[in-house]
Amino acid sequence: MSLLHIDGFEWNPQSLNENALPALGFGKATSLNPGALKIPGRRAISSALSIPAINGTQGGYSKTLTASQTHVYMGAAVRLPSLAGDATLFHIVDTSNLIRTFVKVNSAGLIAVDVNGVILTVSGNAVAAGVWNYIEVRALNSATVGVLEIKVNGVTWLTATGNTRQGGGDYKAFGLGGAPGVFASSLAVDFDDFYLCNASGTTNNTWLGDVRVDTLRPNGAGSNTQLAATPAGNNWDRVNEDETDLNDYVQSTALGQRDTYQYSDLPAMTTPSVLGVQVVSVARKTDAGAANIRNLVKSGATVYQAAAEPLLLQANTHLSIWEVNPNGNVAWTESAVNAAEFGVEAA
Amino acid sequence: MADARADQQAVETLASAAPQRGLLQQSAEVLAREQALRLYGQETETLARPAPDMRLAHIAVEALSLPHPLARIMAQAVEVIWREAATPDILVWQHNWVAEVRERLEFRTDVLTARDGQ
Repeated sequence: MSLLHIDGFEWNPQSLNENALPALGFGKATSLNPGALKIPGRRAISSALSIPAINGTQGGYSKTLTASQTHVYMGAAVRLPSLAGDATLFHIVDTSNLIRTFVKVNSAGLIAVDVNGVILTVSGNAVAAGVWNYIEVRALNSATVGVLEIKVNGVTWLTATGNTRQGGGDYKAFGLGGAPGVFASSLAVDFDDFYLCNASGTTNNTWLGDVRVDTLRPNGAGSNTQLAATPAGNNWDRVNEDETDLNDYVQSTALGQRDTYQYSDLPAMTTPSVLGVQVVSVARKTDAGAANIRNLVKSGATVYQAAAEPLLLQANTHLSIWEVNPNGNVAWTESAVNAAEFGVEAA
Repeated sequence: MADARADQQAVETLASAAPQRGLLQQSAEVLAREQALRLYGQETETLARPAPDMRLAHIAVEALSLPHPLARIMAQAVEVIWREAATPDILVWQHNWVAEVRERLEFRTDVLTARDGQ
């Protein structure tokens, strides 16, 4: 199992939190530029993330993982509205937070990899402004046999080998645009359909290619309805907004209570290959003290639980990935996703 | 007496800042008359009084927390990463440049032929 994070950017960074400030995804990313915007995506009826030109050190979209990594793949659909300067597309930061790897593009559209301030290689091909390209990065962290490889639309554009560690540690944080804490004067860049995986396990352990990340929302009651809806009504209808509404929620009254919901079906695809499912819950606790939730999948007759996560007093995002259908540990199919229920449990 | 007034004022302040009070009221009734009273140093007999003091007891329980906080879920979604396994359909809008070039060449040939004939 090696899928670490996905994001289809079907959420609005500028939605307001409890303090009437931009919620920036309620912590879905560890760090997000405060000027990030939701924009139309690369498919009809989809959204994308626009990271503005960075004139300070706020960085772009960054995800810090609990476990450090040595060999990762990540990809995203990338669009440069213009090529009027240099831009940072991807970043990887090591455990010391000192050695940074960047994938950049210059005003000629050429792509380069930069480790610790040194450009290792520049591509011979150029990306054009104003179009979506699917760009992927392979990063193998090693002082001797390291690899940094870039694919654009499935074709290798550059490969740098040798010392990719540069005296630093393993990889810890990954993301889009510039890294937080680093001054980066760049262009605005648009991103969609982001994935991050490592080389471990038996699934999703290599280039995933041009993928899409679709967001489904609850559209009906499932097999479990134990939490209380506020305002009164259908539980599923209190958690299914495109933009999180903090005044419209379900709430537990006892530990162990569960809600599972039916979800809208996936859009039609001729021969779909489903690589994973990520349950996303925005939740908080009502007071100081210990409280947890765990995300749920009900596939077949069984409810499968993710690890319990502690709640904060502020709304926060809780993510759980099921790379395969837990009902049999087999690859997800379109019909299995459509038939499954997803939900939460007060733990 | 002064302490009691201060307690009441503090509790009312908490009440005005706690929009969820109504939700918790029912739980408070079930949970802990004695607990609420203990928190505010009142005697059990106080509970026998009508509504205003019961309200204080409810608020006291809320303000000082139930045995465990409640979980509140504001939004849920599922993100699915997938792709087309077969070759996706291909749409082409390219202009037929070859035909246009041939047309132009033929025109030039005509012109040249006419000139040759002169």
